[in-house]
Amino acid sequence: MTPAITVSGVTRRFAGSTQCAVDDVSLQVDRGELLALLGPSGAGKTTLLRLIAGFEMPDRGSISVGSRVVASDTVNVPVERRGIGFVFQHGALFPHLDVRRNIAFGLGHLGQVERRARVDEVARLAAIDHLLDRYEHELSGGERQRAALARALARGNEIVLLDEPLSNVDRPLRLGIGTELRQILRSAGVTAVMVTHDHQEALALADRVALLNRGRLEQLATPDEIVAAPATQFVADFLAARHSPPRPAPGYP
Amino acid sequence: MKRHLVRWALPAIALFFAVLPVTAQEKVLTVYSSRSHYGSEPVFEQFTRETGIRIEFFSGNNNEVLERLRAEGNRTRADVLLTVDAGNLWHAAELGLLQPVRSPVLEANIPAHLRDPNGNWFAIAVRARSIVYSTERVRPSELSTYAGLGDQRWRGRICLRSSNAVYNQSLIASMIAAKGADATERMLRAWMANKPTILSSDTPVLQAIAAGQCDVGITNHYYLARLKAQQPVLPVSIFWADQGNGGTHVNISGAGVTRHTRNRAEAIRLLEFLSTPAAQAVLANGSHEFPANPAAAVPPITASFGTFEPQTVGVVAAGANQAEAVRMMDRVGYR
Amino acid sequence: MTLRALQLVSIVIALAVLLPLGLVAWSALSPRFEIWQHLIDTRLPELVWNTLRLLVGVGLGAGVLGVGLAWLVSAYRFPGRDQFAWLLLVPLAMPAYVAGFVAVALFDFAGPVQQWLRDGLGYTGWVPPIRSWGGVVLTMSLVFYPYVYLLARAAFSERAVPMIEAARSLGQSPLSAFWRLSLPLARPAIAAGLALALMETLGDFGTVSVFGYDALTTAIYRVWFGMFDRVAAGQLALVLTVFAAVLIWSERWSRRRIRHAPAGSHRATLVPLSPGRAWAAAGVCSAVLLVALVIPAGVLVKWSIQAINAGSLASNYPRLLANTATVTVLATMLVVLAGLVLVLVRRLDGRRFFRSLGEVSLLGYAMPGSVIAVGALLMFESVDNGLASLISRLTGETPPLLLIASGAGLLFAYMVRFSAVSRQALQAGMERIPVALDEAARSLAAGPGRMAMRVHLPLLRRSLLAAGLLVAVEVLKEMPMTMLIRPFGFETLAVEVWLRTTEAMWIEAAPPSLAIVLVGAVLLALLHRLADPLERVQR
Repeated sequence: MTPAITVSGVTRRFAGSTQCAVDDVSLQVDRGELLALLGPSGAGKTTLLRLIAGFEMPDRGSISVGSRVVASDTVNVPVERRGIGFVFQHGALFPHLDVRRNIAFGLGHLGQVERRARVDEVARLAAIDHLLDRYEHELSGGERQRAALARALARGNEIVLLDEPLSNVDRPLRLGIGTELRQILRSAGVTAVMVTHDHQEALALADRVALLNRGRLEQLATPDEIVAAPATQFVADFLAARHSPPRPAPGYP
Repeated sequence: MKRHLVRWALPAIALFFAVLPVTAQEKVLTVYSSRSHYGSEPVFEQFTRETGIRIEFFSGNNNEVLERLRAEGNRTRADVLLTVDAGNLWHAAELGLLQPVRSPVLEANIPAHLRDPNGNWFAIAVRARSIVYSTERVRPSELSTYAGLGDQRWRGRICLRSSNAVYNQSLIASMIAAKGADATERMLRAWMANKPTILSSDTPVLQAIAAGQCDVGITNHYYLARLKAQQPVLPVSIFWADQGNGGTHVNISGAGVTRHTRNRAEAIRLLEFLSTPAAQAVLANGSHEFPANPAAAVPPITASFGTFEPQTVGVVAAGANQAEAVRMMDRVGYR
Repeated sequence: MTLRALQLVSIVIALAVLLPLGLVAWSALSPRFEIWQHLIDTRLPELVWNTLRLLVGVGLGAGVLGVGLAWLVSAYRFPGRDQFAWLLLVPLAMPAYVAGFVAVALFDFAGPVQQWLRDGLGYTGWVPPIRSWGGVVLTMSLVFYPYVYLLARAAFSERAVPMIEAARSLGQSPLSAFWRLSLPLARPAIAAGLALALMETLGDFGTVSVFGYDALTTAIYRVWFGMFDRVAAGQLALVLTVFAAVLIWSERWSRRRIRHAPAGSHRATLVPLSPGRAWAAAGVCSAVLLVALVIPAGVLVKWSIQAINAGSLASNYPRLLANTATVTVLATMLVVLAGLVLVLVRRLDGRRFFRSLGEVSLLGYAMPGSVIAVGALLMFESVDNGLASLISRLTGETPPLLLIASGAGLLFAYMVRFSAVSRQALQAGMERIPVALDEAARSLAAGPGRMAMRVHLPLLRRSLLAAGLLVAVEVLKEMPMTMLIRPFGFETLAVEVWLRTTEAMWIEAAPPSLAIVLVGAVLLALLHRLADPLERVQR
């Protein structure tokens, strides 16, 4: 069966930088699996995620969704047409729309009745059907992420990408909410790729983990395999290391 | 909401502007005027009463009105151009915006030196630009000619309007025609040597003299008349300069028929009407100017200034020499 | 609406601004060495110097006033602060020209103030003359500081004030934190406000002439109407535009390294001042308002009463007001739309070309209104003639003037002149919308058109309102251009003011001037209530 996502020899270097953000990375994501992109900050995980989504263009290599090439030397399918859902780090919910209309945003092609049904369905899936009339600033961190996920799922995309979805959630609640997210993804039957810098999250939630360091793929394996047999010294060190809580972005309380 | 606004705006625009152009059946004369007509309205109303022709004004400064007329080209709706400076009329004629008119009435009513030799424009009112002085600090016997203001005794006592003002430009232009460029430039340099205070308009000059900031100045006569009408005891009077030496400088408010008018006959009729003694009296009365027609009555306050010998040089010289006058004023540093 | 359409329209708008300028340049192609020689020999150096001095003076004056007041109001609590916050904007409603003739009438030798000094106090010594560099700079600073004030205020409260708290927790005194943090951070906003103020100063003719202060614009008029040379006047206007371009370029240069972060999500508390200082702050604000607004408005009221009693109020006042309202509303819609297109294109298509299109609009702001008017007239001449010959060939009749008579010409000219104002206001609002929202929309299959309509536009509502109100005030005040291109028989309040002042009839000019100030003040009060840029974007 063709993998959901195929990344082939993708390299991306930002202008003015000698270091490659993503350096000749190749991997495949199987249908229905949850892949975690794990690594320290600057490892290139978010860049790789954005490359798959289409917000960035690779300098070399190719990316395919199913059997369809979406990025290569000759092809660049724009974000709007890749059919990939994206959950942003801080949710990026539209502040001027309530949750219902946020979720419905991508459903303009449906009739009114169908749209409402779909919104309800997805909201139930994400356990936020009681929050549909709320606005972004009236939601907690966890609720916000579930709403963002519901919005990304609404269109029935087969692939959903998540950029550090739990970093905005209170530490003690992370694993719980993470498990909820994974449950939702499973129920929706989608393939998901999740970026995180927290190895506990990755190991607990993902089907497979891809460890990145300075743009290179260090190891790609199931959580058990990684723990049992780290492929490189870096992987071993990274798993053993204690992580300090992430610092909030400047300007935010 | 915004969409609705936009949707309604376009028909609203179309409707509004469709209504604007006048679609009257009666005869209408369009006058492009730089006379602030809040003083001459009665005379135009009279014209309408007598002839049934309605008059519509497009007002502005001399320059704005001219530029607009120029830009409109042969599709302008202007029938008559009415301005407050001879130079402006000269320029309009030069640009081909006016057309020559042969009218025995006009030629009889308006003296030759107050109209264009080619018949492109005619004065309808006359304003004299002469020396004004403080009755408290200056005796008329101390005054004689424009050039006399260059005398040392007036150092620091003169207020002049800016040379940006078209009235001053016309004054100097006429002087160049009457006395020659060299003499005029010498006069200007002498004035400047007396360090005059430069003000932005004639009324401030008069008020400055009254308040004691200076003792003499040069203004149009009707500004004084207007002030006198409000404050009869104003301690400022006018002195007719250059008597026996070429005559006091006069400028005109005049009118011409536009080149592309579609109502030529009516336009000429308006001009002829304005030149009649009766209309002249009403016109001059409203603005304290001198009538252009010598047979018309001079308004009272203006008449109280006395009679004088006007410049012998035709007012057409104001336009012909204006550019040179401006350059001369630049050279001598007259701001 | 697609990106392609937006791009096209934005190019059209930029062309629209450049065309009148281009036409003036084109008509100014014939050499005029002789006139230039004369100008250089006589007055040009002095006029250029005067213009430079004026720009520096107003820049400093409006800058210090605008920044100082913005800081007071953004950082501190003192009696009346909430009211001062928006009242300090209202001097924007006063046309500079009107402020000018009020100032001169009040403080000139023959005016009431000096009369009182002489007669009442017996003082006969030296009094600072109002018709001087000082007089013009002071008056213009008081009328133009709101541009700086408005933009600086938004910048201070959004980013600077929270950072001040951080700095103070690190031991910095408030004043030192202001100098070292707030001011540099707010620099792009301050520069943007100064750019607007200086452009207005550069292109102003009416105000400087009331003070007898001769600048470059004076030269343009002198050559145009004094020496009957429209070509040389056009060349001088180009020199003026070069000045403006330099100003624009330096504003851009000062913004080059600043990246705009989205707005912080909390508002800092205002620092209360000790009673002595608090009252001093209130005093400063009151003093500025007194001099910039209350006294001039009071004089206008007095003169208006005089004028009404003398019966010189024009009988067509209802028509005047209706005309003014109509043209203001229509022009505002058009101008805001133009600014919106420029801002949207810049966001949706980040290429440098489309970013510079927005800056072209600033050129329109810097040109004297009458120069734009002549350029526009030249443009309409050809277009109108073309249309006319077409129509006459079809119908056999020569139509009257279309573009000017319909008022389209006037609206067009307003767009050329004021797009910069709406663009600057909208750009500030757009920058507060995080890019993540754009990306979220794209991940939900929204193309540029849908993104603009369903994400940007709703979130720009406040900025749109703010831009609209600012533009409306500008259109209300504009005089020289309106005079030249207005449709026949179409008088507005501004036209009325201009006409009355041709013969220095200040008193008769007071009622329409007062009307302009009042309407403008109402609009600015609305700006505060409905669209205050200080409010967070919650809904």
